[in-house]
Amino acid sequence: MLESILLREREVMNFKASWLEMKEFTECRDENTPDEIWVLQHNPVFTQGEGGVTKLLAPSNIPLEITDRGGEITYHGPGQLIIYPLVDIKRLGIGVREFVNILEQAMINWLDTVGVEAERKENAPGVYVNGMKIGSIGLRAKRGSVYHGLALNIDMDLTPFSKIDPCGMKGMKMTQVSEFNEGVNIQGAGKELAQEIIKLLEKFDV
Amino acid sequence: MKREIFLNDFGEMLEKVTIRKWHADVDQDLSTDDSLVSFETAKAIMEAPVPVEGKLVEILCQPGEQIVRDQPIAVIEVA
Repeated sequence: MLESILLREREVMNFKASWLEMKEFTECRDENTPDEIWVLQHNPVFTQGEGGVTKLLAPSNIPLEITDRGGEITYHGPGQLIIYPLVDIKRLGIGVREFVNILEQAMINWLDTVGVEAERKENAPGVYVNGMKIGSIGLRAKRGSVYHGLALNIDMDLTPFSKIDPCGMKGMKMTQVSEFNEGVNIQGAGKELAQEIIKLLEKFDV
Repeated sequence: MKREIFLNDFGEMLEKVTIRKWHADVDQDLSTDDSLVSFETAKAIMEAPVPVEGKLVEILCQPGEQIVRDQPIAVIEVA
């Protein structure tokens, strides 16, 4: 099944266009549709989860999109790696919490390959370095298939995060790969992290 | 026959979730092709399908409410 997983490297996209496309993909897929992993970056945008209660702390020219994913408010922009794993987790026999774990583990494993030691934080899904957040997760599962995904800060302008409490956590500091390793290329990172996700999913493929 | 619906009916071992949205109204006929309720756990929203065909008799929790595993969330009159 996973042999046919399609890795799609995409350009810098507007959030809304990619959201509508992955939502449609998920609504139209059936039990035979191969999974896809999209690798991309977004133009600057704040996005808010469906149940989110946090707001912008200060006015901003950057647009805010209310979406249908889980989680609170966050920021996306160029230099941040976005991976949307459009995976039928029911077919693989994986629960949604387990899938969140897989995405976290894939980020931790890949960060280790570029010399960044990252970890989980209890009751706060995502990936952290020295207590600062480097990778975020927000998902939606419909009929056992997930969309939305992860955002990993590689080499970006972090200032827009100061306009929000990232993921609803007051005063949460953000960090990025370039603060520890300046030689990481985002296109290469995207391909490698997607392959790491596929490697972890293969354990569930029967 | 009336049947209480629990988180276990959605095929995943979930201990605690927050209800986000009901996709059906009381007295509505339910098909297993439809979504019944959305809930959030660990940064993921699950749009859970109707677990059994019938009529939705009662909704026992509202959006924003936290629900644990052994707590019924709705009652369905099984077709």
